[in-house]
Amino acid sequence: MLPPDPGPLAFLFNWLSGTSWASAIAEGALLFPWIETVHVLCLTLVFGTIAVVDLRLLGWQSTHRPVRVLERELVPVTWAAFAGAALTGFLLFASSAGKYAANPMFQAKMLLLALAGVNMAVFNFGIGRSVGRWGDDIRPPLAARVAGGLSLILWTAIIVVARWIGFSS
Amino acid sequence: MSVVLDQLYASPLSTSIRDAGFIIPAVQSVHILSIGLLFGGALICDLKVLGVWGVPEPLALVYRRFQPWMMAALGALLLSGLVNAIGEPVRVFGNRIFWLKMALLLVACGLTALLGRAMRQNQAPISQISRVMALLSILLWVAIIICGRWIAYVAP
Repeated sequence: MLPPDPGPLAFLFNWLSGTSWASAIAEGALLFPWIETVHVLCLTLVFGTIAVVDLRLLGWQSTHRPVRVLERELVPVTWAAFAGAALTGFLLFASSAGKYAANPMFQAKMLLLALAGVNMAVFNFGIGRSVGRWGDDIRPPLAARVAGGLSLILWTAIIVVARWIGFSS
Repeated sequence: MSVVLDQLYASPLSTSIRDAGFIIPAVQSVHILSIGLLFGGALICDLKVLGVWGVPEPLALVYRRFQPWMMAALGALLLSGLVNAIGEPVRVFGNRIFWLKMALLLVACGLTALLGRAMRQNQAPISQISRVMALLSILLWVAIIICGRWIAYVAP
């Protein structure tokens, strides 16, 4: 009997971890820890900056500052840090693509990241469009508070399950 | 030193932290979330002092906004780090990168306190010394985070 078909994704992951640069990350003593260090630096900045915006949307912090000012200051930093985290995260993933893809904590992390993206899109195309009207309010409208609260919960959960990847197989 | 660490490792408290498999990853998660808040706050304060980023505002306001969160995050960092260290005393207390991290942390805390005083007094323009301290503060927090990750990779 033939083994079950591993499917196109498994084929892709296999190819990915077989590339010369992915093998170099997996096998070298220094590359993986340094890429991981940059990943940690980037994700602390993602969380540290988006949390300030989320807490403002909740009406809990920075309430005397307009939401738009906070977004203009912080969101570019969040995006830059996220780009760094995504790039380094991809490199780490590639080093053992199949192993990570099969890890339930890694799968949960990808799902939560997608949800954080959906939450952000819903905010940007929904209540976020009228930020000019409510952005000075100490207590933003319910939809904005929900978006801020969800974002805070999702990013916290992302970091928690991410830390668990290394402890589960 | 190593005898003491071995004894601590064998102690009921340390053993039960390790045996309950979820405690170490849980406190490490708290540790990462807290350093995110602390580093985020410190970076925003430092960049505002340097005057190179963001919408200008009185530094006393920036300080007042972030100081309570940074203090709370520092408390959570020390507590979660302590639980982690009791669970794995040899890997933490026996590690030279850990002690380098603690030395850098001490300097960073002193610097943050000094900078906080300057921000509270809110003199404009901010002194050249404060700017140098702000730049140093960013470098220190980055170095502390690097050390934190490398404790796991440098053998005790």
